[in-house]
Order: sequence, then structure tokens, then C-alpha cells
Amino acid sequence: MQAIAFESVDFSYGEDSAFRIKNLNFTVEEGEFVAVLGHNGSGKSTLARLANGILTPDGGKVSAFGIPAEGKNLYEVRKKVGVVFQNPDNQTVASIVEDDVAFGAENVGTPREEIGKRIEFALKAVGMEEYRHATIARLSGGQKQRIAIAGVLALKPGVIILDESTAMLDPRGRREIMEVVKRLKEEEGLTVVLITHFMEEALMADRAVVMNRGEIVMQGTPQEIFSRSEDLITYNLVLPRIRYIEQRLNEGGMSVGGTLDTQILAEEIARCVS
Amino acid sequence: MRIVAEHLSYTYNEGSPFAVRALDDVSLTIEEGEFYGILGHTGSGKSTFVQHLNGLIRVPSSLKKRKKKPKKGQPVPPETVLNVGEFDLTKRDTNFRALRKKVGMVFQYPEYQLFAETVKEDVAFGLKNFAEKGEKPSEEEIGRAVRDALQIVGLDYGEVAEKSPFDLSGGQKRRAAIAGVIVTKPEILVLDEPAAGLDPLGKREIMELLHTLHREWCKTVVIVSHDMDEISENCTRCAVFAEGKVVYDLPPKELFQKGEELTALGLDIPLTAKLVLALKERGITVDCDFTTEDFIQKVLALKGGGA
Amino acid sequence: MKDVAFGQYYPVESFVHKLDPRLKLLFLIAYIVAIFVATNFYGLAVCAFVLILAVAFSRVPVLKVLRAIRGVLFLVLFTAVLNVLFHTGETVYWQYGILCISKEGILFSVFFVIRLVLLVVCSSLLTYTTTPVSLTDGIESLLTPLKWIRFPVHELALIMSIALRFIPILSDETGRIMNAQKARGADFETGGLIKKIRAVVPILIPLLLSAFRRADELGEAMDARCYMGSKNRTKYKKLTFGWRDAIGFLLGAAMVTGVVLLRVYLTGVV
Repeated sequence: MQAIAFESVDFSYGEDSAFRIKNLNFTVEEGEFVAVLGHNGSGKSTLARLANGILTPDGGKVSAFGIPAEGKNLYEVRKKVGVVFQNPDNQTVASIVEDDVAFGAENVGTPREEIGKRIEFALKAVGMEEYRHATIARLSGGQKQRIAIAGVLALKPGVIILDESTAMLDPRGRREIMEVVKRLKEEEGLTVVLITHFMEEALMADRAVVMNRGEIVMQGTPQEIFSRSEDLITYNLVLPRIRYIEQRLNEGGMSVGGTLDTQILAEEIARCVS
Repeated sequence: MRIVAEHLSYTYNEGSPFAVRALDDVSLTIEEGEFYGILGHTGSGKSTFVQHLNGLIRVPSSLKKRKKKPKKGQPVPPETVLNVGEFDLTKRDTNFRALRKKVGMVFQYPEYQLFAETVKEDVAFGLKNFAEKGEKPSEEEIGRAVRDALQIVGLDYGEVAEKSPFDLSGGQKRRAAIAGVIVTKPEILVLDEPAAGLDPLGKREIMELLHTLHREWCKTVVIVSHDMDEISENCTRCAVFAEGKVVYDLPPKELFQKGEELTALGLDIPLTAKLVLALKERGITVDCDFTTEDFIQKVLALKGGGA
Repeated sequence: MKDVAFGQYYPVESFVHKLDPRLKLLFLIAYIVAIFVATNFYGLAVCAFVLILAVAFSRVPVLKVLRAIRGVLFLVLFTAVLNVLFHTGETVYWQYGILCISKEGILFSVFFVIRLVLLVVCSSLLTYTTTPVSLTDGIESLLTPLKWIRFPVHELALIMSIALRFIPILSDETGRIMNAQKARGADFETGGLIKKIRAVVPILIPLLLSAFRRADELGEAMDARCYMGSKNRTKYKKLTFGWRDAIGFLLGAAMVTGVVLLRVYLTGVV
């Protein structure tokens, strides 16, 4: 089953806007972990907004789990496709953790007892059970984003899209979010779309997609993508530092790399120099 | 201008139940000419420290008319020192306006402080504010200073000066905001997370800009950052803050040899330091300064020696 | 500033804190009615007694409660003086034109001061013992009947709770923007009124833009979480009436009845 499917989608933010998506085809299979890369303004965030029907395409078709994202179905699509946004302060509605996590579930008319269970499940999934009655304003950035993820999980979505959700966090917060994402994928079997410009975060994904000017220009495993360094540079991206080091060592006559893993790279260097 | 802090402490909401000790007996010297990095978790006191440097947070003694005499029999606390060049920031009669002109401060996401109708006006804001009374700079002088500032941050005066700052792209906005701080040619430039939220290329460009500024415009640059790679690649020296104290004050070359200690503090280490550690476990010593370039050279040299 | 403690909430656990916010709101209304129904000192004494009881059971320090009066002290004294001077009575101590000081005037003025003080103390006790969030919940619940006349009760409550959520964020942000402009030499302290008003522009514009941006993003996030207004919506938090509320209710009812009886049977004392 395809969790997300774009069929020749056209979109623009109005006549005089330079940005345009043309004839975009993009699918995410159920259970897949896809990373979407691209510089600022490449269309990554538009992709997320089209996928759950916040934006409507000018042409073509967007669907989630076979349900077309249009008209009366929008509600169903939004239930299936959860989106976590960038700014941790601008996506929580309530002041208290459990009230905010409940918000989505309340919107879709979930019975009261069931909401209680879902809050419990969602907070556990993001490792924030102890904070159920805490005041959101007092949490750290990473914790706030975990609450935002919990708020989406309480709707029991089939796919979760993280739209640069780590961009405003410190390294500790970023690690927290990446651990949660990994656990959600492994334990809950959730489909994940990770939109990011931290190249390192994409290494965890099954598949990486590079966007440029509203088009998908590269696709493949993260290893494949990062081995095409010249292409990445044309799309205004930079190599992950580890890939850059591997490449330079190779140019210097060593034969290392391709795995993008610190320990393996050290092992290979050790083999080459001894 | 040299920055000297000794026994500097600061508590938010002093005396209330919500009191938080943000700085705890901090002593730190930043020499003129350095590209200085300040590291630490959110809430480690690093932002509180840098806001002292231009008097946005004041040393309590500089706010009181009379000094409190310590009660008899109580130990006299060590005297707080905070000097930025010739300015003594513990004194009440210090000219804080003159200080702020010399110490430029770029906050996180500085583009959110833009307000004027045109980029030119916004950049000129600081220039007009800092002008001494009775010596209003002429339109011509303002124009020249704004042009220079925009040029050094990599914006084209002709193209952007009359535009609304809100019509610029994300990266351009940040450059314009930085221009608005450096337009008075401060001797010390302090930046809190200058690259936050930018994409990788934008990050690289901002760091290049800071080096240009350091070379041509501001003698000392101080950056607050979470990004270890950013610090190891760019800084001449750095301080690590943890729970309001300075735990290390070293050049990156020495600091990142303490990979294990830094990891124990919950901090990241640069990728090069991770590789050096992993190689050390395998019996290979790489003596590099932890910049990517030096690491690559040293590793290749090892191979040359081994072959 | 990041605390719930914005506003006046005093975070302790007490009998009064645990009362249903609806009851507390209704109690405040009943209390205001009682104060104005009471036309003699006996009635006021009953009201004062009930309030002292409530303060005692709230575990809010008396000093803190009294501090609430400080804010309206000037108003109270000002009206008290006017009342003394303009109230005519039988036992006149001093007179000048239309101004006079009489026994009745003084009594009336004292009576008025007590009323005002009780009113202020009672309403601040409500905000000391109820978080803004549960106050909002209480108001929404009490206004529910208005849904019959298509009054957007749910939307109003949501707006209130979002406002509460964003007050600390925007206040932090104001501090940040002020610091950034101060670092660029902005001066908010010196100069005349016009200069001060002009000095606010570099704060106000970034703040407004930020508020709009936040509103925009919040709107998107709410959409993404299936928000469609109050239609078919369930509510997780239910306010429940407990034994404490029963006691509170009885006390309030007894007070109102007492004041009314005192008014009927003891008229003309003041």
C-alpha cells in the first residue's frame, strides 16, 4: 500500500511566484523511512503541506493510503498523515501537556476514555510519560517537539512527516527527536518522511530524495546519493562531512568508505596505514 | 580591546522563589584579535555571559548607588571584575552607550529584529542612534557607511538599499541584519548562533562572512555555538560552559583531545575528534588540530609513512 | 516569565484551589450580589466572615491577599473622601457650601470602603487559587447555554486559551527584541513623550510581524491536526463536582440567604 502518492502534481503559490512544482511524481510505501533533502526554498516544505491537504494542488492527484486528498476526504487524509512543523513554540494549542496532546483526538470526536488511552500511548511513544501534567512553556525545545509529535500520534496516523522539525533545536534536542523517530519506525512500524537539511540525519533513512526548484532531482539510498558529490553541489547542498573526508582520502590514494559510518571508516583507515 | 572577567556571577529573579543561578564565579579572558568560540548546552550560562559584554545584563554593582558593605565577621566575597577594553562594567558611571558602539551584538535569528521601511534605513538605525549629540551624520556619511556595511556582508547596495527588508530572501535578511550591527564598525563582534536555521550552504557562507569581518572590520569575533564542527573549523580558542561555570578554556586543538570528558558532559565532539578517538582505539595516533583539512593531511601523511 | 505564575496564580494545594472553577466563578457572582444586597453592617459582617473563612482555607498568605488591595487603594480612598464630603446627614460636624461632614456620611463612606475591599479581595482570591487555564474551562462551561443562541462559546474559549499560551512567549520575545535594538543603540528611557513613542516602533513592528507569523503557523498546525471548529468535537477534560464543591455551594447559599434575611429584618441600621 502506498502511504503517500503524488501523481503528476502541479502547484504554485500564485501567478507571480517564481516557485513552481510541475508534474511531480512521488510515492512513499507503507513502512518506509524516506528522507527529503534540499536547500531552503527547494520545495521540501510544500511537499509536506500538499501531502496532508493543507495546500491543494493546481493539477494532478495527491492521495494517502488510497484516499484522494480532496473535498470531504481531507479530514480522513489529515487523520492518516500527521505533520510536525519546525517551530516548537508555534504548534501547541494548550498550556498543559495532556491538554495539547488531546487536541487532535478531540477534533476528530474520539470518545473521552479513548482519548485518555491515546494520550498515554502517545506520551509513552515519545518518552514523555512523566510530563503529562507539566506546563509546556517550561519544557526544553526538544521536549516541546516531542509533545508536538505526541499530539500527532494521538490521531493514530499511518505516516508522520517531520518538516524540518529539528532545525531550531540544539544538538541534544536533535538527538532526542532522532531517537524518537527511530523508535517509532522500529516499534510502531510507522511510515516516516523526514524533511531536513542536516545531511547526517538522512543517513538513517531507507531512501533519500533530493529536491531542487520544486523537482525531485535525485533518489536512492543515502549512500548512493552521497556518493554523487558533484550533483549534490549543483543542487546547492554540501556533502556530509564524513563523506567529504572519505572522498578526499580516496583522492589521496587510500581506498576507504562508502559506508558513512565513523567506526567503519576508522577501521578502514587503520587497515590502509598499517 | 581585551575582555577580562573575574568572579562574575549572575542570578535571574534574585530573591524570588523562581531564582536561577545562571553564572557562577566565572573567570575568563578573551584577548584582542581572537576568533573565540563559546560552547555549552542551552541554559549553561553562555548567553548570559555574552549579554554582559555590552551591558545588556548589568553587573549588579553597576546599578547601585552605594556599595553594600559586607557585614562584620562574614567572609568578603572575591571582587567581581568585568573589563571590556577601557570600560569597567562594574562601575555605575561607565558610559554604556559608548560601550555598545564598540561591542556589536548579533542575536539568534537577527532577521527578526528588522523593522524599517527600507534596508538602508534599517542598517542606518544603529548609526543614527550612536551618533553623539549635536553631531548628526550627514546623509552622505550615512549613505557611505551603509554602502560599506552592505558590501562587506555580501549584499549589493544598488539592488537592496531601497527595498523593504521583508522582501529579501531568508539568507539576505540575515546578512542585512548583521550589516545593521556592524555598520558602526565595532571592535568586538559577538554573535549568538549566527548560522542557526540556515541550510548547509547558507551556514558555510555565514562562517565565511565572519572570517571576512574578522580580517577586515572587527578585531575580535566571539561566537556562541552548539555546532562542534563549526567551532573546531573556525575558532582560535574556545570556552566550554556547564551549569554556569567555565569548565574548559583552551584552543580547539587541546580541547578536542578531551573527547571523552566532553562526551561525559553530554556535549558532542567534532567528527574529526570522533575519528581520532576511534583511530586511537586501534593504536593509531593522529596529531591534528581537528580541522577537517589538517586531519586529512595528517592521515594521508601516515599512509605515506606506512607505505 | 516562563511560568504559569504569570497573572496571579499562587501555586499551593488547598481546599479552595481544588474547587471546581465554575463554582468559584458562580460564588464570585453570588458574592458580588450579596455585597450589594447587604444594606447594613450585619450583612457585610456575614460576607466578611465568609471571605475570611475562604482566605484561611486557601492557604494564600494574608499579606499577599491584602496586597491585592494596594492596587486599588487610591481609587478606594478617593471615592471614600468624595462620599464623606457629598453625603448629607442629620448629625453635621462641619459644613462649607455643598460640602459637609456628617455622621451618616462617614458611616456611609466606611460602608462603601468595606464593600469595595471585600469585592477586590474576593475576586483576587479567585485568580490566586485558579490557573488561567481552568478559569477558561470554567467560563466555557458556564457559557455553554449560550450555544443555543449560536454564540461561539467554544471558539471564544479556544481563543482565550491560545492567548494564555502565547502571552509568555510573546513577552519573552519582546524582551529579546528590546535587547537586540538596545544593542543597536536604541534608547527607551530618556527623552520626551514623542521620542519615547517613536522609540517603540523598532520593537512593535518586529513583534507584530512575529505574532502574525506565529498565528499563521499555529493555524497550519491546527489544520494539520484536523481542527474543524466545535462540530463533532469531544472534550477530554470534564469538570466534575465533588464534595468540596457541595460544601462551597452550601456556604455560598447560606451567605446569600443570611444577607437577604438581615436586610429584610434589620433595615435602617445604616
